[in-house]
Amino acid sequence: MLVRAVLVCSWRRLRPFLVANPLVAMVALLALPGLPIASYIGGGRVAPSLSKALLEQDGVVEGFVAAIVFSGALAGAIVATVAPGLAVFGSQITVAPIRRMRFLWAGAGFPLALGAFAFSSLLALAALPVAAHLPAGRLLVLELVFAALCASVLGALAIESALAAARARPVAILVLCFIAALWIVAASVGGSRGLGPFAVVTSSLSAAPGDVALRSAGLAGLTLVASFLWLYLAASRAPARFQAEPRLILLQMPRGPFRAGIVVAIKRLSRRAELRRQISALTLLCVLAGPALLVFVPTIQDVVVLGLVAYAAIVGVALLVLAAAGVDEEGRWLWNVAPGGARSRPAGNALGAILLALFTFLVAVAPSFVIARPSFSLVVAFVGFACFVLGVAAISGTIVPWRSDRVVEQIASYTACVVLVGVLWYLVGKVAEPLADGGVPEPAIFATLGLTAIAIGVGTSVALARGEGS
Amino acid sequence: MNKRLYVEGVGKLFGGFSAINGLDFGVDAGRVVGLVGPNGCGKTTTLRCIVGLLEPSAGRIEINGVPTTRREARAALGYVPDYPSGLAELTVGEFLDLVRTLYQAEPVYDERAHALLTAFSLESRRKTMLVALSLGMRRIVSFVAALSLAPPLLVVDEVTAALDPEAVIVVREALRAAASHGTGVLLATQDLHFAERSCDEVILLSAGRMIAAGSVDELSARYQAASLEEVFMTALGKSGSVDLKQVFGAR
Repeated sequence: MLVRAVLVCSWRRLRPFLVANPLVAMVALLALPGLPIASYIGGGRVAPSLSKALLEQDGVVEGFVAAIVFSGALAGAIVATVAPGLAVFGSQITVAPIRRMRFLWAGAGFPLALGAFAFSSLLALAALPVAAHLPAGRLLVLELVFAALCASVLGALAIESALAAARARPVAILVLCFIAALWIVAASVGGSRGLGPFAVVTSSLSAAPGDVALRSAGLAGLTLVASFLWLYLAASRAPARFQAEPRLILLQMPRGPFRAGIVVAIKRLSRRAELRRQISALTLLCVLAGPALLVFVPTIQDVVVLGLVAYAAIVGVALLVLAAAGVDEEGRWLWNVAPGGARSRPAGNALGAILLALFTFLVAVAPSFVIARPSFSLVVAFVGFACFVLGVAAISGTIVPWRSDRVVEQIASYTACVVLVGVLWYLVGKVAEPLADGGVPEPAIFATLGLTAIAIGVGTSVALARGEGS
Repeated sequence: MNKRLYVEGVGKLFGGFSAINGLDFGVDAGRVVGLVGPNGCGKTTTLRCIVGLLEPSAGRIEINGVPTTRREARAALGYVPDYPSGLAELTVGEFLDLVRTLYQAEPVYDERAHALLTAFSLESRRKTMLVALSLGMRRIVSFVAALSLAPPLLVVDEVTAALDPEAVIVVREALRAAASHGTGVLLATQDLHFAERSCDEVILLSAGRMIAAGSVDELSARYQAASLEEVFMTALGKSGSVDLKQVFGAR
């Protein structure tokens, strides 16, 4: 009943949007069957070189597994910090005499399980051609999918436990101890401190894979246990939160709608509890995991770790930009009746979100960059790519705003952003290649790309600024 | 009398801020008790602690003799929030069906809901999505959903805000009818006229503390006031007149 209610509500919110935006509906319709095909073809293209590198080059296996684990944990951390919990049902329904886990399952668990199923299918399709080139065979696909799922659920559980432990819940401390013990024991068995229970996957990717089925079953079991623990902890969150007085007053409100838009966006986005949780969690993940991988898993190349950290930070901070349009819409009762700023204020709002996101990105990646000391061109490349993603997030966030209490809109907003980043990056690559071949320095290309993307993102936010009744 | 709600020494801290402190009161079966007080005095916090949306920092709350943390307590409770939210894309009928299912209510729930919707002239809106209703109408739907359960305890937060005068009268009649059926009603309201006419007992809160309690007649006699509004102003030490003419430069 609750699951049905959530799905009905999601569909009824989505339907008018699709009717009003037939082009988006058509693109989505085309993308749905296109994604599995693209995954399979993409996997097929990289399969020969990837499998060769996995079998023959030192450190590639660890880097590959670390990438899967890091990405999964990142996705899980995002889920744990933004999953809407009981808020989706409203306070009247929330006090009904049924278990809170049922609410959480209907409001977050079930939609996320659907999303995880879709993602796993795409991952499996991409991994299938790679597995065919490796000694472990196609059974390896199962292990890789369960490794990704397990990492995401463990990431969600770790963050949820940390949040609950901060509220002095003893059970959360027990869960954190369980995760730490599991990591240490599994790492000692698998032989890699940094990869914990996922160290076993490195064996399956080697020339002598051993019992892949057993490892897959182990990861599947761990995924189930961790999922249950996450649902349990998430269901016991405080259903209502008190918004404390902001202690940090960033700036006085400047005159002029553009500058006011920037300041209002920075203040509002930095004070939203659900956004702050996610950004804090991901920044912490980057600040701790990056240096830990650099120090404890020296077999992974520094550039791989920096890539993972930068990727995690970008995914985390992009949320701020995705959410900016949705948060801004809450104030339309004021924006739409105010006599000025119809164009400049939305521009300020988008730019404020991008600036806040960029600042957070730099904070998150700084420790890893300080330890690894990459070249100047590499730093510019990472920052330029971050600016590119943030600019695209401004576009996709305006088209499909991220909403704090609606998990389906969150998934849709992220998906739109990922698809747009993928498509535009491909197109940009086609344009940039001849430029780089022609001798234009890479840092200049990345800097131009980042700034252009931000300008287009802000411009789109202005052009699509929503009116009353949207 | 049969106690529907028992509140003893309840307090709620938000960080270092004490929203409510040392509240003691009860609601008997068949009684309508009103919580009144100025904005921010802790009315909604009190109700949220009672229905289990907030965990009290101190004290004990029992519904029908059962601690409010237990599911049996929640099953004995109907709640109308101050701001109806969530699942706004369900129709009125679907929302009522959902509440009936979650509470495993008897078939008579539908009859009550039909009668109440008719009384509020909302029966024709059964197939309308909640999001398409005005705030007042959404409040009525929340009220109908909770009242149709005929719960032992009904907790109502600011139900009359944004309602038209006719709807306010129907709400009052409905609450009285529920009370006569044995329901204990606890309502928080800023509408002192409504409280005066609807409540058997009024609890006056200020800065999270109970400063007076009793029937309207008792309070009027104690504060030598002609109405609950006068009781309110006297008990809180307010004069009710503020000269703001100079703010607008009036001559």
